[in-house]
Amino acid sequence: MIEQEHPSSGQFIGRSARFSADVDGLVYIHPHPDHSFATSACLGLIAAVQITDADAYDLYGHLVPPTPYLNPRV
Amino acid sequence: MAQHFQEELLEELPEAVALVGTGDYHKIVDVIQRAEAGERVKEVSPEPTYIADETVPRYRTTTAGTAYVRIAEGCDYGCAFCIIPHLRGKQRSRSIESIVTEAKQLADEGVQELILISQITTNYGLDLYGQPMLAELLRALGQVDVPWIRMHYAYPTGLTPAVIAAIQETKNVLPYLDLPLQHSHPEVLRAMHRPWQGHVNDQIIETLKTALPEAILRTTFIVGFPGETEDQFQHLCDFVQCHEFDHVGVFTFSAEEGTPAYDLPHPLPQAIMDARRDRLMALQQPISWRHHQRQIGKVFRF
Repeated sequence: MIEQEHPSSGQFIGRSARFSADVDGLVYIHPHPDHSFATSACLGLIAAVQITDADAYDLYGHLVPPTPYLNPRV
Repeated sequence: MAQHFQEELLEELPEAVALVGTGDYHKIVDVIQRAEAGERVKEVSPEPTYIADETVPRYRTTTAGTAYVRIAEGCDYGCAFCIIPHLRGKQRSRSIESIVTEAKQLADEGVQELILISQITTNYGLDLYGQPMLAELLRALGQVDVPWIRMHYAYPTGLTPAVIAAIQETKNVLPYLDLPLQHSHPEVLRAMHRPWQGHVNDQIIETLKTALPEAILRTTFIVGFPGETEDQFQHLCDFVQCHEFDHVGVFTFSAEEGTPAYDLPHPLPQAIMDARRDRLMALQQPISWRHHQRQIGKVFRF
């Protein structure tokens, strides 16, 4: 779930199904390394993200092309 | 505040023009009209009974994709530390039809995630239908075109086989369980007047993990309840270490005037409560870190 966008950097902040609003962590999302999918994320919608790093509170990743086989519940 | 100090607040705040209770906000237009006409209004129901339904206009303050949906208000329990029953009244649930209608309205507005809230979501429907109806509600919401439905405040004893089956079989219901356990030690739970008291044990958590292996488990604890011994706190630490919850929130006990726990003997100094909170949070941090490390490399739809 994409919730915040930094227009100039192309970064987004969202939540995964693991995180509830207001009480859990966030997912910090960078554009895909080759920049070709940066526009596929829209505020308020669900996007596909690959996780590349994590700490005790938050996850970090980048956008990837959406695929029809991903389980939206996880 | 208005509900709790309904007799004192207008006296203490001479600049206030009106006082509206937690169960009276639907009367706000009338209150404003009366206040504008010069009346100093006190509109506070002694026992709140109101709950908004799908016909009440709402202005959402959450981000665009998310909406909270209140499915019930109030609480019939009498936990010793909790002021909610006094402030919000007894439980009253909305009908399944009302909730589904609002859910569809929100879906039509583009909402992607509905967060179901009430004081005890697993008791949803008990007042209205004579039995808990959470399983039936989840299955009905499964027909709404929203990809994520999440619920907060699922009491372990209310996660019946029917509710677990509904979570398993309803594709848009997230296997996310927020269990307000508050403590693990039977004697502390008894002193807290928790509804299941000594029944929060290893078996309940393990049963949930077996039934819903994908489930994200969140919980909250109160440390420093009056009389909590070091051994009882250590029991809680062992419990957290053993079950490796995904998310844990820890709060120090706060004595709320008007609650049974307000003047219990053997209150703990704030410094000890703070230290116990910090110890438990420090214990949980590497557990959460390990859970998150296991997500690296995975691709999720957010």
